[in-house]
Amino acid sequence: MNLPRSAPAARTLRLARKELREILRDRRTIITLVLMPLLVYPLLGVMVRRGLLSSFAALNSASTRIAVESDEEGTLFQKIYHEGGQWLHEEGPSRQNRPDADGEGDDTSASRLEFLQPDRRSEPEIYVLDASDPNTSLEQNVQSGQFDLGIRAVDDNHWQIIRRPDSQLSERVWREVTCRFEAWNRKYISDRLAERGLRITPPLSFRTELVETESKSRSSLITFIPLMLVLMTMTGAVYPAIDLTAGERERGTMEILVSAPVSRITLLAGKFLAVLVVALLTATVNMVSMFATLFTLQLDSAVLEDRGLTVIPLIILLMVVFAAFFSAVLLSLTSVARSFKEAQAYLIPLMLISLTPGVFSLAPDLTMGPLLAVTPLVNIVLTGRDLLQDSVNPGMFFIVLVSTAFYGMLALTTAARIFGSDSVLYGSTGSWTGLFQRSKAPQQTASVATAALSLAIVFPLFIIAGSIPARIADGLTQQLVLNGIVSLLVFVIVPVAIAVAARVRVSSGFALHGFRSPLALPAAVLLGLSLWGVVFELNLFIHRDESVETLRRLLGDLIDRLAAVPLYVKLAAMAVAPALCEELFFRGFLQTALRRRYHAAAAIVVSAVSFGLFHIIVRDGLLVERMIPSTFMGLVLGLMLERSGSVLPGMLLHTLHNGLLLAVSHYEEELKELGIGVHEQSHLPAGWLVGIGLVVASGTFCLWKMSPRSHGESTE
Amino acid sequence: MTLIHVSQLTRRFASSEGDDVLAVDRVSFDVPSGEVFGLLGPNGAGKTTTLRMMLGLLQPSNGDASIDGESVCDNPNAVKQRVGFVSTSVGVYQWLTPREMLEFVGDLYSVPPQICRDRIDRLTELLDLRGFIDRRCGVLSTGQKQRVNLARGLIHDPLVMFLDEPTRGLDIVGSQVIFEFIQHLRGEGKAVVICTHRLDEAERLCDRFGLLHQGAMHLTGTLDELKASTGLAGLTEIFVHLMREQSQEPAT
Repeated sequence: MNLPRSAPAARTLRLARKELREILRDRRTIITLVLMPLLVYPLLGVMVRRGLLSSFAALNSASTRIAVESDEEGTLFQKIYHEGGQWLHEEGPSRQNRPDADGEGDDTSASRLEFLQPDRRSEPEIYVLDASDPNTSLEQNVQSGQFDLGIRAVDDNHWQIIRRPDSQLSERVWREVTCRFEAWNRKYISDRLAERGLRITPPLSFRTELVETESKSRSSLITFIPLMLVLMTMTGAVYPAIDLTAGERERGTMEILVSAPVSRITLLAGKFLAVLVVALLTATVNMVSMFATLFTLQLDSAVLEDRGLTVIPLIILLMVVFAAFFSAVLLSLTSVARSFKEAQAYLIPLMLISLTPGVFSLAPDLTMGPLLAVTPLVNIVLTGRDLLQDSVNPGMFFIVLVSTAFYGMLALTTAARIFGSDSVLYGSTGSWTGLFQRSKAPQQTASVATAALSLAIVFPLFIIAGSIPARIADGLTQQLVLNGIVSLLVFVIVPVAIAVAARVRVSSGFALHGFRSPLALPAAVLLGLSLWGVVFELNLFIHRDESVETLRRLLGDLIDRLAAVPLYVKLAAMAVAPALCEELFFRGFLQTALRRRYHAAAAIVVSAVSFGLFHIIVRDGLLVERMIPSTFMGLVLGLMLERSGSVLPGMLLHTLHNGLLLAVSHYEEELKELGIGVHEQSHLPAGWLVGIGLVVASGTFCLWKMSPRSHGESTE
Repeated sequence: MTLIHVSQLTRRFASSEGDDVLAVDRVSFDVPSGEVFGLLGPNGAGKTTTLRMMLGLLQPSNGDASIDGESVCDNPNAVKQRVGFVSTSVGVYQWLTPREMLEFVGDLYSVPPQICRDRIDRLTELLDLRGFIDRRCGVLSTGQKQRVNLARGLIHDPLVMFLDEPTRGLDIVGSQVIFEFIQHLRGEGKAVVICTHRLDEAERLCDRFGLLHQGAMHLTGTLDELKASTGLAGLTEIFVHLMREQSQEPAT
């Protein structure tokens, strides 16, 4: 596809190409980012393997040493030890309760770290202490580490075993000795009984089976990969992020950019792409080098377990998410800096902070919930862990992706606001505070940066606050009231607070003024009364059997319980409140802010898609089917705002629409009698469809006849 | 035809003590096509701040400037499209060649590629860039870098040119290139504003002058008009006299 040269995307790509050309021509970059990992991993791998092998080999090869106090004791002990061993061997694998036999049935773990396992077959060496030395007792000899175990015959049948609790070797030989003693006892009893012609079969028999935990091997080495990705993508992004922001200021080239007629967001988008490519390149080289080292040293199965190379697409996906997140965040931080030195001072704390969530991925019991799913960085690290362990929740995964995208957008718009500003370019105000000072003059509408900020706050709040009513409410009515309060908080109170903080006039910033065309009212009523039919048919078109099941699973018995709630309560809580609140945020605030800078179509589509994304999250799950009808409604409502210049007709349309859909579900039984029902997959009667079609056409005609909103009308 | 119209341009900065410092105080002047206007003043007079406001790099606290009828407050991008800006504080991209850098800047100003290539050829001739047009900027001398910067300022063929201390740090040969460049701009009918504290240079190059001191414009006019109004012999004398007058004024 060829984009016109003047298209913002084409310009962004050309900007990114120029930045990449500059970065990659600097050989220092190549050495630091590409060659270093190629050398470091093999070296590190060899060293680690050598270190591990030598320490385990020491454990392996070290013969265990047992001390006795006399030759007689030694001879007797050796006899019992060997006979016990033979009997154990004869008993065979049925005696799975042998202390050190745990895990023998676990092929995966046995093969996983085979080279790390000590050799259990080595025989202990038995020494007799010098009886002439009264100063050293058996206990002292074991305590000093000279021997791993001390054996003393108290009398013919009683033995005392002395061992150290802090020594692996001591424990190992102690287990072996006690095991063989027990076996010897069993053999003795069995032989005595046999002499009397008795043969007793033990009443209890048992065998131990090892089962996998729900998420496979939660403490395995694969959980290190998200932490590695954090380190790799961040180190890859640091240098280009500094070079393309603070570096521009230091070299004096920033003025070239800011004195050109190009928007700062386009400049930053180009820089973001360039940083992203370098971060991905670095992470790829690191990963390739790391995996090549693992394969060469035959450590791959230890890390990847039974997942093998299937993890590679997941690692690439995670790499892109991590790299994009860090590129945006680092650019926003380095944009504030006026020199390399200053930028490094800002980034070092960030790098240290970032390691903490990285370590979270190693915590096996940390389960992803709504709060963690919207916590920046922690969410992607935990998703990485869950993806690699094949235990990811699709709903949570979606929330993580959307919230991370919003955080990235916020970081980039912040960077665009800061990059090349007076404070950074000339040190005008000399401090951070100058960059975030409130505008002195009241603003008619919010800026795009403020809109991005509101999305980055409202989305996580929607996820966290949205999960609270179901948990704390006693009854369904209380839950519905709480849902209404959450809508009010998330879509009204928070955006209004953000707008007030940014000195945006609430009436114009939320398009709350009167509508200019008298046609707005009939258009809203006609479409509000008829679009439910379109959405109904749209739902039939995209309906899947699983979607009803998914909905039932997610909502439990809520659907059935809702049927018992009076219609007026449902209308207030589920139709009016959400309609008013959502219109105020998605159209009134978000679309109006976007419209200040972008073309009407772009503003409508972005607000409609955001509206759709919020609607596909149902509790912890995901109902992707809702995206299409919700986005469709978002487009109609967006068009209504664009044409009428006010959020009020949209509120009316949205309320009527929600109300009719609720009424349809409330009177499901009655409608069934008419042969209408979504579960039965039946379309509306032809007569209804024609009627609805006519009303939709009339509403659309009214919408069309309203004079289009002149560009910037509400902004000036 | 008046290409530059500056009206009551004012800029306050917050000082570290929290007070407002008036860096530029209600500065007004006009520059027609084909004229070279010298914005003169000692260090810290407010010349560069005025220029940055005229280019839309700094937001004026009050007042406005328009370039070819476009207001810098209302339509900064239209102003930027019409202005070429050269300053010794502006650097070059170390790892790009002058040709690549000029192509890049041309793209920023939406100059079509073929026209951009033709202009690069023309500017290479005009500013004698031939010897190093395809060498990396990082290895060029100060004078060569400044010539690349002059070419950069002209790559989009602007109506107006702002030059901020264009000869600072340059030797005689380098300065001569700048002088010839300014003559060329005048010949092309562009409106030029030069900020400098080198009064000898200004006297040689500029058609009209604006004398800035402590943020305020004290005198404007041609050299003859300034001489007539002050009764002094040259720019240097006029300036010294102005500064003495200001320093003798009782503090208010």
